[in-house]
Amino acid sequence: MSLAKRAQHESRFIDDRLGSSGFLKTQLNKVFPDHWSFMLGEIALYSFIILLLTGVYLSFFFQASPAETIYNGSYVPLKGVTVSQAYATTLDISFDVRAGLVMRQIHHWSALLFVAAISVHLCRVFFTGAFRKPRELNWTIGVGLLTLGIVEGFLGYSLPDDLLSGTGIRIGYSIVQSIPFLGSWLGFLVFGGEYPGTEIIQRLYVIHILLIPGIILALISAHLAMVWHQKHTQFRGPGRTENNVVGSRLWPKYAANGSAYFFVVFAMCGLLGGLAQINPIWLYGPYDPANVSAASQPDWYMGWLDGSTRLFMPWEFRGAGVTLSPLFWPAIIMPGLIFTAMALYPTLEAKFTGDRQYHNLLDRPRDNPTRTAIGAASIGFYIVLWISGGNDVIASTFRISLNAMTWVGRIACITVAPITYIFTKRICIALQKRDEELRTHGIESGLIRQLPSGEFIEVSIPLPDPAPIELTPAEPIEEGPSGDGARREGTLVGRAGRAVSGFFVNRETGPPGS
Amino acid sequence: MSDSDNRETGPDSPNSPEGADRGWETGGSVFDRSKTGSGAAATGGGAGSGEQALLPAGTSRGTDRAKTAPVPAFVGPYATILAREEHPDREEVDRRSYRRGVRLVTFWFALAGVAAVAFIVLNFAGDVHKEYYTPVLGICIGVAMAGLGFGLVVWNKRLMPDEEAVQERHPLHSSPDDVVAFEEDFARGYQETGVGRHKVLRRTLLAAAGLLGLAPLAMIFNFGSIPHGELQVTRWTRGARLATRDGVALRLGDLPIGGIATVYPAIPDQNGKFVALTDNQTAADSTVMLIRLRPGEDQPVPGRETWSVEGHVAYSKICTHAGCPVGLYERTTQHLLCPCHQSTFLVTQHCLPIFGPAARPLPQLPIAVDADGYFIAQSDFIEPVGPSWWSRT
Repeated sequence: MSLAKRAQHESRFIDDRLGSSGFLKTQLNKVFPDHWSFMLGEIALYSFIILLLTGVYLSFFFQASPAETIYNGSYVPLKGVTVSQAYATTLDISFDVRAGLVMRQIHHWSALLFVAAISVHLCRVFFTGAFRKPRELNWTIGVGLLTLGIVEGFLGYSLPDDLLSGTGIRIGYSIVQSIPFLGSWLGFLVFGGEYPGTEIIQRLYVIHILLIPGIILALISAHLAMVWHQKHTQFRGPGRTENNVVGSRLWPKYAANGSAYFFVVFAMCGLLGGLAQINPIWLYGPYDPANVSAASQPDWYMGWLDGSTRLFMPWEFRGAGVTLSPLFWPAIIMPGLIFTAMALYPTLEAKFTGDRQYHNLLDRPRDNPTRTAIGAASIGFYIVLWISGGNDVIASTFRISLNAMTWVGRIACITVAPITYIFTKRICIALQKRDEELRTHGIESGLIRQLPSGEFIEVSIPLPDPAPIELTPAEPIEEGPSGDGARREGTLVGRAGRAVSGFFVNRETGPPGS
Repeated sequence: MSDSDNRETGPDSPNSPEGADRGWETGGSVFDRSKTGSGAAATGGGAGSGEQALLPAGTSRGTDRAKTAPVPAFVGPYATILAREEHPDREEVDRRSYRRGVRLVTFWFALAGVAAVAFIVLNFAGDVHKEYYTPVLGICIGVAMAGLGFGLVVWNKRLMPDEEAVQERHPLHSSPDDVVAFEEDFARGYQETGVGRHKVLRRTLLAAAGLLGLAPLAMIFNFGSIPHGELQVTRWTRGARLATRDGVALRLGDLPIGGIATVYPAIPDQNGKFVALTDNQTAADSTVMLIRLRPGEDQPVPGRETWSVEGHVAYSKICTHAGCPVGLYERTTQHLLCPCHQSTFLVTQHCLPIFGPAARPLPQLPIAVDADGYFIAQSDFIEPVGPSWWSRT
């Protein structure tokens, strides 16, 4: 039977039973817009698949047990040392299990990549305004995925029960303990008693390999299903409107692209896992609550929380029979506020701008200076915290005083965000003005011509039509029918919106051409 | 997002085959045509007339290229193909490049196959203890995956016709009729249940569901105990000796001036022999640093003058900030530094926090020397060690 015949045979077999062809014929012709930045989220998806594959392999060899055992594997320096089963089996995976170390390192690298890809994807969605109606729900799911990804990563590198991760768990316990009213009880609940107890590794393991991956899988499915159903956003360009999608069809171009991309991501992780050492727990040694190595650093996505904890002032509230730890603010309140604000951002922006329209065409960052400035300021704040998470390493590498590093960080985490905000906003507006000049005056040729009358004029070349580059649309930022004027009187948001009038839509410096 | 989305051309639209043929025969690069073709769409699509707008041919730019017909190459029922490159194997000059493409794809796939075989062979035959093992396995995976990936990319770019397709978006919200019908159906069903009329039913149902929801909540309590003062105490008792991790109890004179030792409580067993408690559970709250200061250097808290012995002071090693071991001792400045968050404590000033996020001094362990010259604890710490919690007093 020829290949075509066989394919036809199979397709009809399935269609007779499921009636699938009617659905699939539309899906095969689904159009996806092409832009490199639309592939960032796919890196996250693919690294999650790699995480599942490698994680299953590792789980066959790992034992999440704190039971003490005398290590007798092939890593000579630790021979005869009393270690936990968790640590010993991680050593076995690294030194004695076939393909164990390469799988472990691929797993760790793709975990770093997973969170990194989500973060960059989130920035792309934010700065292009892709989260606007009708995609607010999907943005919220995405924020949930980022949070879960960070937690999942932390749990994962806590499992081997080495000195580095044990210290991380210890800090985690202290953070739980710092919660008002419930802290000490919650700590006992999570750890099955006073720290460290004997339960925690088993619990982390179950959550790491079953609970959170399950939730992530479900959320990713919902995320993709929504993208599929709502169709992807696209940048402005010739022929592209709010009501269409221009790109290539799923079959065969986009499918070939997507699978090629999966293999390339896997190749990258494979090479990293084989060639770049990561988390060498045999160098850290087994966990010992009385020991810690200097310059111990968590995985990259925990760095900002480490930094905020380092920078916070030693402010402990004691009085009225209660104590509020200085851990509570930088490690619980700060990330809690930031993730809540992130999850609510689409709603907040819509309230402030009064924009209730559907948006399928993307903004360029300059098109909405306020949003871009908020994003840039947030990134600035994050980077200050992230750098401060390694301030001891920087201080010792560059021979700077550690106390100076800390104070610079303390001042910077307050000042960098507003400064970045102001500068970004000015830059965006300047770029808008440049676009406006291009549109109205054309491209500068550098030629000066003298007219017979003696007058000098500058020769400018008009832009070709359609323009080869994308310009900010000449229309003002859309204010829906429920814009400024229609803001509900009296409500808190309405009043806040009036109070900061000009926050999102600036009347004077607003979009040119309006 | 309005009526412009109502584009429904049947699968047997008369346009399809013609459009397909015309597109197939045209030449020129797809980039040029995509611009002309979509330019047409720009004029019409925005105007909201749906598919009709895509069909009219001829913008002024279209005529620049005689052999390019600026019409949709293919109008399918689900997507309109604005521009479509002819299949790369059509013309003689292309065919040569096409054959090169085929060879290139074959090369990448073959390379992937070789790398996969190498992985399998190495998995069985490689020496897991040799240094080459993990890197070469990683390279095999990398090359195999990259071979497949690059092969597919080249296949996509060189062997498949490029195209620019347009698809209309359909309104996401349902038709007003459907919205109303759904709401009515739901309300009708709700009416039929009678939940609204029977207060008793509604309340008992909610109560039962709520109580059932409490059951798993109750099970959460099974995960751990409620703290009963465990956080207030450590394993130090009156008479416990200060022993190192190796179990050696320290005596007066064992430490040089400026010396430091991490010590654990050593408690007599049934036979009266002192055994050091160095397990993780004990170490997590009972680890202590014994430091010998120069005579007269120590400035104790008033009332604690008798807690030290000849310049020897003992402080909890568990940081009062986040519970890390305060591991770095700087002899010249008498600073103790926690490597986790850089809290700094001044040893000579009863371990006051002088920098970083820690707010409380390290708790001091009152020590003495017994008749045999061994360091002993006078009692447990008089305050809880480690980080703060809400009801810490």
